[in-house]
Amino acid sequence: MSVTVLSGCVTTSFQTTPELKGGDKTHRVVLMPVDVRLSEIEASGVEVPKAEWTRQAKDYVFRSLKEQFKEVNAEMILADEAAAISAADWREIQLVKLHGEVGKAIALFQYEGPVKLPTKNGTFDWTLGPDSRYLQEKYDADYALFVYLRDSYVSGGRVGVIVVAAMFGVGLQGGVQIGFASLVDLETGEVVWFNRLISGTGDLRTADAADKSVASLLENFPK
Amino acid sequence: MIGKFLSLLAAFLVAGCVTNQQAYENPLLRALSGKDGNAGGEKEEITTEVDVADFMVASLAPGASPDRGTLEDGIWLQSDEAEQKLRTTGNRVHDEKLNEYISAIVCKLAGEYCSDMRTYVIRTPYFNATMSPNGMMQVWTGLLLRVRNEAQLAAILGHEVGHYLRRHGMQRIKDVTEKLNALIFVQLATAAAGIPAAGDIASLVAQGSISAFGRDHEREADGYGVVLLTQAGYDPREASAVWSNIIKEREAAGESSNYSLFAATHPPSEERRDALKVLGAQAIEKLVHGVAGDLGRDRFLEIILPLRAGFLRDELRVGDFKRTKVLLEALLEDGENPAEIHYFKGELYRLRQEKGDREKAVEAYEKALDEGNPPPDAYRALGLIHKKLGNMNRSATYLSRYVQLAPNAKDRLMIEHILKGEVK
Repeated sequence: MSVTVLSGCVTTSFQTTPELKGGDKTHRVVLMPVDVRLSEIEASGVEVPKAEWTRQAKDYVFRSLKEQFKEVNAEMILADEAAAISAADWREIQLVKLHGEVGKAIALFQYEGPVKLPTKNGTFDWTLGPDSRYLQEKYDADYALFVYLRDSYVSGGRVGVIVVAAMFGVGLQGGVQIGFASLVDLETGEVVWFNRLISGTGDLRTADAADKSVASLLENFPK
Repeated sequence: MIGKFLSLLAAFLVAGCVTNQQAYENPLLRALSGKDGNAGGEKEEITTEVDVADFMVASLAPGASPDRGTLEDGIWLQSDEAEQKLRTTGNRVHDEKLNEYISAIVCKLAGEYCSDMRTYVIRTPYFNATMSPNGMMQVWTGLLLRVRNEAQLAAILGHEVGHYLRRHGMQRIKDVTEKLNALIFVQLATAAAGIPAAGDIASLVAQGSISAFGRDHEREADGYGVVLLTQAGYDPREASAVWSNIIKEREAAGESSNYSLFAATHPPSEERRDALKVLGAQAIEKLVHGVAGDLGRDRFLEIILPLRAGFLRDELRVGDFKRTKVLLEALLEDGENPAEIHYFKGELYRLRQEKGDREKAVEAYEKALDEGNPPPDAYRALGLIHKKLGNMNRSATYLSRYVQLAPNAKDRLMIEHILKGEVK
């Protein structure tokens, strides 16, 4: 078993455009419900979801996004969370689900690694299709921002396993933070900017640490 | 290996289900122990020593949700997310009457817990229903084809409600994580001592006892199912009848019970049938003073019959013709709308394409016509077969009849072209 043990924080972004279209005008960006989950890694390596941490982290990430968005030339509109949860708005929820899949595919297949898609040749050309105009009309928005974050922390028992394993020369990963932010042009459905975050040190359990993670997520956001 | 357990844990999130398929059968065990996967070479004793009085206590109050910050809280959060996805999933059956009907039965069974459970009918052609820890219940359409009345359907739904009342999903996940946590240290220790295989044996033991734990849950849920069924005014003997149907289907299809002592998460169907029989008789005596309840067959048929053709079409798509054939024979025996069943038998032969199947298909379609009021598709199928056989006149008669009976059919234009001789 050989595992590269990750430390520090790496973000890499792709974009189809260096700047948001329309020049100096203030863009309207709708923030879709943030998808956050925190879990604890038990001794065996099983991840157990932590509800309290998750609720709190969602709140931190949300506040932090709102705060840090002030530095971008865009106005943030909040998506209707209730529509997503109750599935009352069928078309919106389908777009959110579609982006969930597209986003995970980009995070997995666009980047250097064992499963990078060879035929993509590095081209960054992902789209949700013209149906995304539904969100454009509903929120009177130019773009939609999707945020996905997963963070895991080691339990005391897992720390013990990592220590014992290390003594036998096996490196086991501790907790890790992965996530992405993705900006979709609602006119065309194209993903115009995508930033993936992988961090062995990040934390979402305090407001300060969450601020740092959000800052990393928004790095290289188009002007 | 940890990865495998992670997926195991994910599988356990949907904890309670009634399936008799050996979904978690371990191929390694099978290889170790011969083809029936029976590691010890001996079958577990069939347990029919049951007492209906053991199934009367719930482990959570109506409307209860987990304490914040607990493991259960986390499990519910994850189940809630899964439910959000399920609510908008493409293979959900949206038929309002059916959904209302099933939810009403669940409410009748669950009583004051009614509002804690949400039922989703999912278009999947297998016999199963599941309950998640947060009260999300799935009912698969393959199940609806394999119960014959409302009491039988309620028996399965009651079983799932039992899983919820006893928090089985939660207990199972807790058990899995605890056993795996203990296991990792055994593996590290044995690996350090230079006996790597021992770690694997330990993992098999852990997996085996996890399965046994699952079987105990199934037995308990069966017991709760019978009690709820009786209290809701149904005939509790129907719970056992469901398993008789399933065993009959499986045996006729030539499948062995393929019972694996270690990996089976469910008790063998025979055991469940026998134990439920005992419980059903006890329940009538002890809970309703000897007065057996209702079967609700008419109510059931009124809802299911209009949807049955769609479910059967899905069933055929699986391509497990042996099994589907047994199911169709059972439905014929049941006697409702035999023309429809003969038509689907014809479809089965047409799709199976074994030697002599074309003749058998023709025979089955013709039987559908003889029964009277056949699905228009039976005429279409006969028309197309006779066209292939070169019997153009007969073909035209059948196809014209099809167009006449199904004027809004999607393929009407194509069939009319064939009739005019424009398509060869």
